[in-house]
Amino acid sequence: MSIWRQLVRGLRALTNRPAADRDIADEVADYLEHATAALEARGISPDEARRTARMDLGSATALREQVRAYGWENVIAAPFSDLRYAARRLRRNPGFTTVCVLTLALGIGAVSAIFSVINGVLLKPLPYRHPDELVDLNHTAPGVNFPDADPAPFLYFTYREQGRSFQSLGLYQWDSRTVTGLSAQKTRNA
Amino acid sequence: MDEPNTGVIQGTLDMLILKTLSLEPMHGFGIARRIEQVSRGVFKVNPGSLLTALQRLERGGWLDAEWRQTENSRRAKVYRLTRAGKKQLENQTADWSRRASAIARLLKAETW
Repeated sequence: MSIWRQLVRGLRALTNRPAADRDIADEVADYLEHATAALEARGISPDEARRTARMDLGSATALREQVRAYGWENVIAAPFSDLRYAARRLRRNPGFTTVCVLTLALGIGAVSAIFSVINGVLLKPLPYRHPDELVDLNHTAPGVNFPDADPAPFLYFTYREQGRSFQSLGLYQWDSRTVTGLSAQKTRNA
Repeated sequence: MDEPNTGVIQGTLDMLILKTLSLEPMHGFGIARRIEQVSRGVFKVNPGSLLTALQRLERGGWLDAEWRQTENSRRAKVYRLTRAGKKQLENQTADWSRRASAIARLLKAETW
């Protein structure tokens, strides 16, 4: 199947229905002409030949409609004409069109900006080979109601040197005085 | 031509059109007449089915269509087989012979 041809012919019929209809009408007329000529060649009078050919062919309108009904464009012809109507109305009302376009542009822009932030911060996996093995390690002391106790540097060194549970270990600390100084942490189950 | 006219067997019209056009380029009525004549009047082609099939085959890329000016300044559409159409005809012919011989065997069978 030639998809390109399907597309081009369909679009032509959609955008220039009169020309497509003329093609079909011409072909049907030519068919009738030849049918008549063939009957005349058998010795039938021209009038009689024309009448017989017409009867054989059936209603020319019905025939044109039958040929015309073929094609994917007929499925979308109605929505397409709605679309053209909408475009026409929009062209005639530039103020409304401008407001609509601006609203849409701002809306789409804002949404895509927000999404790109969310995508980077929340959705994209961290750039490690096994992000599912990353673990966030915290010290906590519930007995004294201390949910988040910062580890002392010596604890970090002990964990790193002596610990067997993780492939490697990093330490980071939030600092409100500088612009979020954040060094990456890489841990991995052994 | 005492045999009754019948419509073309369902699903074979495309193949018959392709075959007819493999002989020479032709317009719609020429194809219909040729099919009627060669089948000795057994098959009568319905113009609506024929023109729709031509449309379909042209869009499918099996046929090329060309408008020609006739002597009485009408436009006539002349169809020609494409390379893809030729291939399609070969496939359909092979498929048809396979089915037809199967049916012939079934109809001839006397004992099971």
